[in-house]
Amino acid sequence: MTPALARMFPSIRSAGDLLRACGPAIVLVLVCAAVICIAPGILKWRAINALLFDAAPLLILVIGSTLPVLLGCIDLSAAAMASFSAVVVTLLVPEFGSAAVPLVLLGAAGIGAAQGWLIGRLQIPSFVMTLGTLGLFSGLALYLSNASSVALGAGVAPLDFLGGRTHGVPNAFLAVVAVWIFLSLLLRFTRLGRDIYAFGASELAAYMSGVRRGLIRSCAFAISSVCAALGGMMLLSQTLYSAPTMASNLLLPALVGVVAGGTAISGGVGGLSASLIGGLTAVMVRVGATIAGLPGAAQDVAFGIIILVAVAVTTDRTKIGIVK
Amino acid sequence: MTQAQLHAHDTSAMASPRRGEAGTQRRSGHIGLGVLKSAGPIVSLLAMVLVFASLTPNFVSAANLQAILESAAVPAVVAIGMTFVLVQGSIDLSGEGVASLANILLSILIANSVTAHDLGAGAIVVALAAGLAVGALNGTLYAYLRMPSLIVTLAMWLITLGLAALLFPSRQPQILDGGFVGLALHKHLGLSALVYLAVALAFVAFIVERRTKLGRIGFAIGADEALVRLAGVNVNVYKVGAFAICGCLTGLAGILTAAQIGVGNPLAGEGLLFPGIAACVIGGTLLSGGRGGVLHSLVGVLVLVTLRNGLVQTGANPLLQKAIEGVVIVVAVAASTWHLRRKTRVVK
Amino acid sequence: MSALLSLQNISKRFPGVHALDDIDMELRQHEVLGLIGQNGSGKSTLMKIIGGLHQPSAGEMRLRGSPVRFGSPLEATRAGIGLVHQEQSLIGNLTVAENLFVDKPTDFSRFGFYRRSRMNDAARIQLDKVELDVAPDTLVDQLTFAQRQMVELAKVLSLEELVEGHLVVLFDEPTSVLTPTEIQALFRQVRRLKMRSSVVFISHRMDEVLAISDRVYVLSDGRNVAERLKDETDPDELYELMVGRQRAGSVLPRSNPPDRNAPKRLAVRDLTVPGKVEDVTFDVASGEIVGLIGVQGSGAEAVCRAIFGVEDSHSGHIEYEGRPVRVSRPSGAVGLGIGYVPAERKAEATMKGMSVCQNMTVTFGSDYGYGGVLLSKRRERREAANWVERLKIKTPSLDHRIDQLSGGNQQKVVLSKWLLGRSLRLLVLDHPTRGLDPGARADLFNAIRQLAEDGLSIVFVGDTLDEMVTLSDTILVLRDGRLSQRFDDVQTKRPSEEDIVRAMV
Repeated sequence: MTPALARMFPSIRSAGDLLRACGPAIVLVLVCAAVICIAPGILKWRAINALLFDAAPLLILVIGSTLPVLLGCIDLSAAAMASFSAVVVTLLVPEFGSAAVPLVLLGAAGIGAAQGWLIGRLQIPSFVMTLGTLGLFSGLALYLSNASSVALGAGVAPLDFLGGRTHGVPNAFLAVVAVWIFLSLLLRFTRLGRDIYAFGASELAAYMSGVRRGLIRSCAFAISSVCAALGGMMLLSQTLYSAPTMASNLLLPALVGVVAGGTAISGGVGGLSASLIGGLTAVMVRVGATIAGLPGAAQDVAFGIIILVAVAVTTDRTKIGIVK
Repeated sequence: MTQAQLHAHDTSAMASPRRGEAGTQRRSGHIGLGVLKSAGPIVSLLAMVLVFASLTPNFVSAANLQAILESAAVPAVVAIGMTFVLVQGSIDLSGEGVASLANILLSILIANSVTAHDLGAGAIVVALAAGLAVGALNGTLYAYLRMPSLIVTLAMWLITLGLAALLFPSRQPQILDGGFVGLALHKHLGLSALVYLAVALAFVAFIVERRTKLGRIGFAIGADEALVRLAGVNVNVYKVGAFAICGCLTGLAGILTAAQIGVGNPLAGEGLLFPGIAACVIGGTLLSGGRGGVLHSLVGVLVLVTLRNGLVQTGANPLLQKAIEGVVIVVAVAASTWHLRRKTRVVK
Repeated sequence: MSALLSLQNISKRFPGVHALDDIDMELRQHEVLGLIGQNGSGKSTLMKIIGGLHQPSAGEMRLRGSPVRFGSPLEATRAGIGLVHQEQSLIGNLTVAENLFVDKPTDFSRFGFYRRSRMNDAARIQLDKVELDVAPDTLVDQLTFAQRQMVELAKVLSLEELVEGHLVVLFDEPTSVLTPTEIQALFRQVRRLKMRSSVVFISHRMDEVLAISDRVYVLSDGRNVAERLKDETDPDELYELMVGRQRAGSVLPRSNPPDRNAPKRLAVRDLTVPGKVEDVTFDVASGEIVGLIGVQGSGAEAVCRAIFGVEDSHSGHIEYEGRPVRVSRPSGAVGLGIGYVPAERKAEATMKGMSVCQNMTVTFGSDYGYGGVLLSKRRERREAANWVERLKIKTPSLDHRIDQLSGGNQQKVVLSKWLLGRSLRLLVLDHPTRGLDPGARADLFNAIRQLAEDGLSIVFVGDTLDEMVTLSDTILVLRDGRLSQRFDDVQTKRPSEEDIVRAMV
């Protein structure tokens, strides 16, 4: 490797590092190639366009879920939060109109931050905490909607925007890109970003270095919740109905996206670009399986195998001592 | 860096003299409040029973208590298996898939309405073996390829769920083996064979946990894996063992579900996983490993099942059931680990 | 005397590192063999090869005359080789008896099930050997530190019944976390062990090695550079052999004595940490180095941690720069300009897998950015590079992973993390030299001395008396959580080591 390149990518020092860095991208390219072979029609602009439209909610969930994972935590409640916030929006729209959307996003941020804060305050694992809130959100969504679909009132500007297109590109996808860029900059160029990675690499060392644990965890979970709520809005803008379980089948694909991109579940390694790659991989597998006429079950099997391969390739085993 | 060097690094980081201090603190806890702390889940179980009993007299009727035990049987089997994995500090998410797979395998191999197979008890053996194999594979990938168990088993969850769906024949297989379905139907002293089986399993599991190397080393791995490695113990074998037990018992849970519902269902395992894990942690088994045990997990199962049953009995809105359960999980775990709180404690 | 264990031409390569190069060693019966060398000289690797944790890349190992090759620690144990680890190796949630036999083949189980009574009886016999009176089925978590050390020893002694003939017992820096009294107790056990075994003893401390060993090997850069009989050598010669230059422990004398009338930076009044520290009162002036010392459990560490806000609870008054402060978390302390270098470097001070630069800039990097929020990687890298140069940190680049540096260099990175802060006024160092070899220690001391002369206040807990006397302006001795004695103006009126020890015990 030339010195210039080495300076640009200081973490890449050997062929193994290179494979680890590029593994998820290679997997994505292979999956795309396979899909294109099965269905060359996918390359048409209209098909891509529709694909991005469909994929947006999952992608935003993947991006959001990445932040807790970077801390070494996990947020199991994201998908439930998406359904919950969609239900709440539809209930609030008659009262507040368009303002319901920012209200719900704000509320999601507050709930997410409270979740993160409680994890530290009660010192219970994020897995348990978010398992609890997963139940809480889905229960509340069922209760508030009376376990039935609720139609969305017309004329909600933010949702109309999310459901629309700009120059033929779905706005929902543009929103994903905007969030991705914003959060990437946040992670790379701000103190918050540095603290998140430090926390993930070693929570104790970061704490002893003066990193504010509670604040960082609250921020990460707040971002995760807002992204989940945004995902719920996107789903809502597509269906114009909210249902209490409308996003629950996104829980696993969102986690698949995060880990297939190479973000280590132990924290501190990975990032949003990785998650975007992982998320797109998950989307392409789904699309490919559908086009090829494979049953949904086959998708699951493919998902499982892709996770195993991607993680086996991307895990830098010298960075982690004991694997749990 | 080699693996061995790496372990050396971790050991020195973990085997710190400060552990001594923590130990002394814990000891003082053991003498005084210790009993109360470890009895916390039982106390809350009894309190819950009292509250529900005072709200509705029907709650303590023999029929209802039987119903509680019946509905606790399958989650108990799952939780027992899960405990072996959790005390090591790992996690197994593949339960729903494994149970579904075992359920389907059993229902298409035993006398049924769709396929021509009739292996009788052989079907049970095959289904159990499938669970065992998946569990062992989980453990092998986790221990030998050094991939996080959460990810390995997440992948295996999807794979087994997919396989279960792929194995599902065109029509839903009705199980025709009377003896098998009778496991759930025929009652002895008011309880089906499932309950007795769960109790027996709990007893065996308890002995294994306390009296065998597999059980004891499992706890040690959860407390400090690097030290166990340093002692020359082949840790990986015990890890695979724990996952195999978990897989096998989860498979058994899928089989028992088949006996309960009498048909093969590719989603039979749905709703087993998260309550199973929740039961373990409510009972006082730490996700970080090294603490808790089979009996703890059983208490956790009873807490969850009693809560569900009580909410129904007292006429609480069934739609809120999940929400209440969610809050109970968080509160219970927070309460049972409150005394472990330290500024320098790391909880992910 | 015949050789019990002999190594011939042992080499060990790790990817990119030649850890051991053609080592010859001979261990005779009834002998205590000292092994010294700097960090990274290969001592621990050698121990691990003998103990079966590593396998040699080349060479031959003979035990009682016949060639052996251990694939695992268990095989070494079976052959009668016991390793007492650098730090304690007992598993907290197993019983004493289980710990004693966890690494040994036993017949305490039938069909995989333990027979507890048998195991406990056998454990009792081992515990009697070290005169430790605890029930074999006690959980190790419930023992005191000293009791554990005895269990550790019993664990090795229990090899006697399993193996015929002489044992080989390896001690890998057993003293690095022990206090002087505990070290004496350990030495008594080692001398007793000599009756029935041969001992290899590793330590950083020359005086200890000479006190206990019959013969000393010196390792340097993975080579065996010298062999000396105890009576033929002295610490200075060993130092020289080890580091290859004049006694590296030399620390520059303080050029200007601290200003006695300097403003108080920190005033601690009646500090109490439940169960650890009681009513400790002291002041730290700007530019002063205050050394805290005491035996294990004396509370010196707790004082440091309370100042930094990581003790779970403490009471008393702390004044900082004349204002009363209440520090309840590290971020609060950092905000005040207080830094802390923990004793647990690997767990609490370094972020494994992160680069040198990332580790250095985690605390104060944002001071070099814009508005405390946006970072300027260029400026903070320049500052980090500056400290790498000033503290002579040996790293291939700023982007090298910290866990791949030697202990001394890691410690300097940790120190730089704090020095990067322009607002830093007080630095608390908890056992800063733990695990450092003499060369690295001297470097670190000189850096600390320089910082103090520039006005930084230092509170530090030392490992040895030598350290305390070399570095401190004021020494505070703690005993059972209370301040037992104070020595002022240490650099001009050196207290004798005996005085300090008397105050400690």
